[in-house]
Amino acid sequence: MRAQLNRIVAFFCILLLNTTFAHAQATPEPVEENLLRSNGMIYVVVGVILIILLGMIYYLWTIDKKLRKLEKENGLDQ
Amino acid sequence: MLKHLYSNWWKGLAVIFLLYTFSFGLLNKVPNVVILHETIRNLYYHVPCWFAMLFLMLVSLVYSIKYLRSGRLMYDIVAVALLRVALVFGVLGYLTGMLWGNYIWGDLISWILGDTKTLGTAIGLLMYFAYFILRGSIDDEEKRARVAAVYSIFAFTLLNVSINVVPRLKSSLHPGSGGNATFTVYDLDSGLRMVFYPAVIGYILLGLWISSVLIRMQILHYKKNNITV
Repeated sequence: MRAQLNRIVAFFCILLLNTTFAHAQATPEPVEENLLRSNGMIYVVVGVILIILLGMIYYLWTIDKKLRKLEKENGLDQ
Repeated sequence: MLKHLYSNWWKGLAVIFLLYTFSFGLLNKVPNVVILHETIRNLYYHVPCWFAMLFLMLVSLVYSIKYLRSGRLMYDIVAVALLRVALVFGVLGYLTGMLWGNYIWGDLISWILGDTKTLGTAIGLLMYFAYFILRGSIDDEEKRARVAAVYSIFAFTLLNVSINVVPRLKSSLHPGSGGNATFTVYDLDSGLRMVFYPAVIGYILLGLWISSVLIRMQILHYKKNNITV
């Protein structure tokens, strides 16, 4: 379960890296208007903030889970 | 409240509220106010820090009083953990306030002494730092818990006087003091409240989540050292 989750996270990280490089290599042709490019690209900022927030929450969640495991080992299981 | 220490549903609630805050807080329409402009959105991120801090301190006060009434070490653990997280929110509130103040009030630091609210907050936070120094100086668990609980009652009262009472009597740059308008005046269509209140709830739940981890760590620690909580 844990390994699976890690694999999923790693997959998304690679996916993100790929998209960044793909953009960096693309020739600066006029790009199509999409949601992420509208309104002065504010949605990109929203995306960045959401990624950071989700990362933090995921980290807190793993700490929570580790603690739960320790509690089980010490008979504090609720 | 303690019976939810090990449950998870409210953590999911925290995630939902935070996601809402950090996406719609940037996207919704805000009233265009001179001087503030887009920084009025800081209302969603800076102000909830203080609300969450005060809420966590209030709950901590309740548990301090409960400890004094019952003598159960468990209540002391809860009170300390909540205060630790409350101080983190306080410091974050201060740092974000400095950044905001730099652009709205002109510089990074001088208003700490110039503005009654920031000065009061600094005094209040220092009193709570003293709480941890006081705790650190006593080795015996029971004694430490009792002294700290009594001190926390003083600290909470004084913090509220210096944050909420004095700035209202003197003039201050913050809203709601010395005849300064609160945000209701700028906000005729309640657009700000739509994000502000969920933000406060989200921050509070996040604070409770982090403190619940601290509480459970401490319980585990006491359990390992054969101390009954």
